[in-house]
Amino acid sequence: MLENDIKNLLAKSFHDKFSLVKRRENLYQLMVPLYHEDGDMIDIFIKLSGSSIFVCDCGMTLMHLSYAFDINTKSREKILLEIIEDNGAQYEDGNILIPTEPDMLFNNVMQFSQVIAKVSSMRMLRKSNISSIFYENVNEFIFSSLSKYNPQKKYVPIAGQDEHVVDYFLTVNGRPVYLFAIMGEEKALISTIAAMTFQREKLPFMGIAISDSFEKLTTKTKKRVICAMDKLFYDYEDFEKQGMAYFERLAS
Amino acid sequence: MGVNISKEYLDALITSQKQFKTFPRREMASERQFMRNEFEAYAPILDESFHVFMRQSIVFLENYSIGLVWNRKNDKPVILFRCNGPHGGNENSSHRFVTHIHRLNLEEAAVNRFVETDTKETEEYTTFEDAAWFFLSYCGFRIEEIEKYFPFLRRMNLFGK
Repeated sequence: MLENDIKNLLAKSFHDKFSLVKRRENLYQLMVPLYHEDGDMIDIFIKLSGSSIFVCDCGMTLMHLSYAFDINTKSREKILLEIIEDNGAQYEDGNILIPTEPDMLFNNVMQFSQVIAKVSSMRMLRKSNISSIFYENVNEFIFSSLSKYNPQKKYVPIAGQDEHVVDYFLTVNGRPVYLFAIMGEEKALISTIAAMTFQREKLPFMGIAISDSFEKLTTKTKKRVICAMDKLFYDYEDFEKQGMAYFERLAS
Repeated sequence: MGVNISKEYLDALITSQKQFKTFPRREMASERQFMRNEFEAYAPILDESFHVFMRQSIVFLENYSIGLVWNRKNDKPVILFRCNGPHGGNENSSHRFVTHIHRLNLEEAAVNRFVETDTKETEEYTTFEDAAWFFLSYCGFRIEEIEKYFPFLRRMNLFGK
């Protein structure tokens, strides 16, 4: 096959695969052979606003993403905005868009399809994938930023009761501090039971909980955690921002 | 690890009688550019738990999706069944802007790829409300409970099934 044949084939293919459907006044849906994993075509629209042209998704990407993954925490929203901005797009209340010019329209449509694909891949951050990230982050922070407090992992305060485990045992100015990294209802309850057991046994300690996302726990579980612990970090971001300063105050 | 389930078991997961474990909002909630609702369900005969989601675009009311997610024990959830509105194109259909239903692709699931690419056009519903009624009754929810928890569907479905 000659080079010109390939060029003509591709040009014809691209031309044949693109079409435009008017959906509303000044709003057109671009039909392109680009699909989500489930086979649904990705949603790309061309919006005309006065003399301006926008390539946008009318909020459809985040709606599609929400079938399997919600942007419902600050860290997820931060990742979303970083993906959008790092790839040259803009975000307006759920709508992803790229302002464009006539001579840049094709390039921006291709660019936009990449943004949609990357945002859609955020579903890989759902719980089963992200659980290791949360625990890894906590582990790394404790052993780097709090290393001077001699952290020990998987500490069992009561001999013979290894069902009651402390995730991290630190010594702050001679005072035992028990850190519990909590992700999900089950871990929250296990940590609460452990802390209350240590209290019942009158062990001298300070109990600190780090939640991956406290707001996602049920109301009952939230109350139990608050009652059992002396200090709660609301999510990993909170721990990362406030953790060092908090421990320094404890040590002083 | 892939999931080796038969078509019969997939059908059973989708259609077996279900109970509401948590309850949907009485009205769809607005979030960004779409409306949403969701709840948890349980199939006592199979001892399996599910999540149901409902989404409808604010910009295009005909763009909606209502899905059944299987909350597998000790494994990541899987979308089994989805009723979609006529939102645009689909890789497996030459027609555009038609209502269609997605099902879990069992061949792909067997090799650990969980996608609802088994797609068929449908005439079972047209509007979001029709789709919600069809979805809930098809997925084994009792009519009395559908009417109780989705009163707006009852209002729309005066001549329903």
